[in-house]
Amino acid sequence: MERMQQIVGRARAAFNSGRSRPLEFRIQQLKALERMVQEKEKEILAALKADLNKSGPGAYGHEILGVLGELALAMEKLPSWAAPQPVKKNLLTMRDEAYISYEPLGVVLVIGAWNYPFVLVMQPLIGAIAAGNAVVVKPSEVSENTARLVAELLPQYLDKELYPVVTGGVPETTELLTQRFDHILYTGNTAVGKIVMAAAAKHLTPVTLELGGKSPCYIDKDCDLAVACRRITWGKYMNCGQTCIAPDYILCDPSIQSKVVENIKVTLKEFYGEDVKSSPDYERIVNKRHFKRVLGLLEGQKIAHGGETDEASCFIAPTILTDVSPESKVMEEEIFGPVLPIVTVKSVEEAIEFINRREKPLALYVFSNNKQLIKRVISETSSGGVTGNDVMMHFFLSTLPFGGVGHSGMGAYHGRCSFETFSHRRACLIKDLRMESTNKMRYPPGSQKKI
Amino acid sequence: NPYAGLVSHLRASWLSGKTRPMEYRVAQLEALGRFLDEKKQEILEATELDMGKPSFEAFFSEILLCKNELNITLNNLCHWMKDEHVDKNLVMQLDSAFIRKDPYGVVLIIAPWNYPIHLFLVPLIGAIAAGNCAIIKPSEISKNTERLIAETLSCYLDNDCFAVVTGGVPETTRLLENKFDYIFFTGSPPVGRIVMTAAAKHLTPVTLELGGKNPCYVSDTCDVTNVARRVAWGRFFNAGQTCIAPDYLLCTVEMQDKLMPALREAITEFFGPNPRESPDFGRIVSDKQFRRIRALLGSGRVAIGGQMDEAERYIAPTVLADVLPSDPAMQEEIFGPILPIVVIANMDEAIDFINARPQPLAVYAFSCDSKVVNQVLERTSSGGFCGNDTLMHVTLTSLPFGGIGNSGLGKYHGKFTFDTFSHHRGCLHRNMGLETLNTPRYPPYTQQKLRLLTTTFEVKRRGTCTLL
Repeated sequence: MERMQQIVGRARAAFNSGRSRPLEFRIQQLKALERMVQEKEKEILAALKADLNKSGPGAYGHEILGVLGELALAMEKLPSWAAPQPVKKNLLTMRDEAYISYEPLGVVLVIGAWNYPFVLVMQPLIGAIAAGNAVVVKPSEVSENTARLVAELLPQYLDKELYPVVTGGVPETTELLTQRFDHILYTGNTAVGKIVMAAAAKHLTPVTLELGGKSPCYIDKDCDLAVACRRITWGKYMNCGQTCIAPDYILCDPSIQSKVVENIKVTLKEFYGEDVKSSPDYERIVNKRHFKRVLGLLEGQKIAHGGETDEASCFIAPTILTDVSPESKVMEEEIFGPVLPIVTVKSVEEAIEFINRREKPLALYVFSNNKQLIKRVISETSSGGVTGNDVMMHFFLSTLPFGGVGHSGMGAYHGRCSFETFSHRRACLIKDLRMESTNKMRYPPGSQKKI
Repeated sequence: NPYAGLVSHLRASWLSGKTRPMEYRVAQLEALGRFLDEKKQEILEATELDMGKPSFEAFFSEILLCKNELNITLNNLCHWMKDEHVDKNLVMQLDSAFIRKDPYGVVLIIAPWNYPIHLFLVPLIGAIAAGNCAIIKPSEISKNTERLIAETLSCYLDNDCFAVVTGGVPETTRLLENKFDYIFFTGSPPVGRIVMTAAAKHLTPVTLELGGKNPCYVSDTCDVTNVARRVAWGRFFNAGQTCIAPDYLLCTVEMQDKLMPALREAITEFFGPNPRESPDFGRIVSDKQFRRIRALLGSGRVAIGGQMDEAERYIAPTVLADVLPSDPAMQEEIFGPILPIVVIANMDEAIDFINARPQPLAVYAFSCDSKVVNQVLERTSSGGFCGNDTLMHVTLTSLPFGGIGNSGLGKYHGKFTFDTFSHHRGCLHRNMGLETLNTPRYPPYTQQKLRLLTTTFEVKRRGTCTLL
């Protein structure tokens, strides 16, 4: 276990050497990452297929495209992001230099998750490198093929000491967390988020926690149901429901429940064909443990569509549950699977109250033709982020901070926000050593006149 | 849980939504302004009783700086509260993309004793401005100010949404068992760890304004008189009990010799021949702190001051020469009117000395040569930096105030306080129409769709061109 101390120690020594700080170096490393993604595309897609049965175009669209976009953005914008930011001065500081300097934090730890195992390690890494830090990367052991690939590839393209990859499970991660880092970005579940923050507290390490929760999806009676349901179906069943910002459950008026089910069924056929199991675009549950967990949520529920499973391949068909009771098991924990419960509510007030009685989710969705209603739902609830009249898309706009609130997390990243998350904003005031007369009024002896 | 009732009462008020309208926030902020105006005398008296705070200093830090923050907030609140629209990509041109500033809910502000009004009030301004409810926990060590806050704040603020909790360590520990939506703590690093650990149990985000030993490098090329004045002012303000005070000086032995008479002169100019009789020099806040600081005097040699009076908790403005890194004064944050000088050979040695130690809240560098100032800035790490002066960087509210590493996490002052107490919520409000534009993202996935997606989603490096 000294291994962790050595790895982190080497990264710290490398950071202290100062070589990760010049912009040219950072851009060079980002360029190398870009080359890695382009040259090893086949290997990356193969790993994603092995881990989650992601299809080529699907995996490319969901993981690689975003990474390439983030890399291009960072390389393009880095000079402007990293430039010192002059600030508005007051009367006393008129003749001084006052600015905010963006500085690296030091050694950053990025802990990835298994559901989008490549992008969830790469996107934070890009931001951390852009900000000039050393980065220890800990991919999730659950998506073992991608973890292995990341561990093989990063040292081939990046500075080996500055950006080490650590693999392993709970014992290794626990050991890693005893080391001192200057920032930790963790993507995963709420329970482990608490453990990460408690470990960080020992070293006063700031954290960004990208957690989860049950992201509600309210469908108003007044909306284009066909379009709404198509968009919801896309988001819910992507990656077999294993998406932190997937619409977890639907809230709608009882009068439209069956129409919602019908529309989703039609869309499912459009997306995956008659036999979902043979669609190359439908993924699998990541492992037996999660398969059993999701299966357990179906107990006692009214299955309006789907419900077929195959343990051998961890297959669970896209499933819809109707008239779900708020107290049932499927409404207690984040589903993280292709099961969509519909809970009926009689009004938007009831929906808002329902949402507010629960922990703050990572995302909130509301579908309506009525702009005012959408505004109302947003302003009377709290969530990490929101997409109105669609699902998940706020994640793809890099100018929006992506993060949670309450149990769904703290801090945010993506685009410039990543750079700022991994930087220290240092206040700098440079005064003149002359011009002492202006200082006289602040010195003792104090007097009414000075005041 | 003795505070569960209070916290749930505030949470109920929060859920009612009453703290959200701008008018409500403005009314509460204006009430805080009245508190500062009407209770000014009481504030000056209480802080004088607590730590002999000179009324000039108290007015400056507890009233004037607070009123500035209040006015900046009131002047800009409307603008700060607005949704911040962001640049959109190609696919979202017809959508509305913005960042909402949502309040967190019920926040906890824990304040220390050294600037007992300022250090709860300035965070509170931001908390209220951002639409939260708040529990304020002033320090029990500045007991007169604590009593003043507990007895009078409730006459100004809405008691359903803002409450003061008094007490010491046991009470604070029990208070921290409750779930808050944000915790803002100012104090020492060890307690900062305890607060963050308690916050972790509820996944409560925190801002920790801590401390450390703020180094002050004085180069050989400088105006000795001005340096001495600015350093003495920063060191002896509030009898040294300031988190951003220059904690120790680094200079060559020649500079130490030049500085000493200049420091002596500055001290005399400020406090007269006998600082004990000056109304402008404070006292140590408690016997415990007095004894702690007294023990640090066994470092180097006393070149200026050194006189003490335990009954009054008076420690004279003191400068220690030839202090060694192993001396007591170099082992902990001094937080008293003692300025140790540690002799180094040159700037590089000074920078190495600073970097061998935990990151402080502030780094100071004095030189007529701006290159020297910039070198120290670029080669060290700290919460903030001030060249050729002390303390002043925190009076400019457009600069973020906070630490790094052991000196803290998070930042505030001005708009940064408002941002600290807001959840920045990314919102995308899309068009229900134009569904055909979404087709490339839907299964069945094809290479053709992927090419289309790539074209519309991709960020291209400048210098290349994409034909749609």
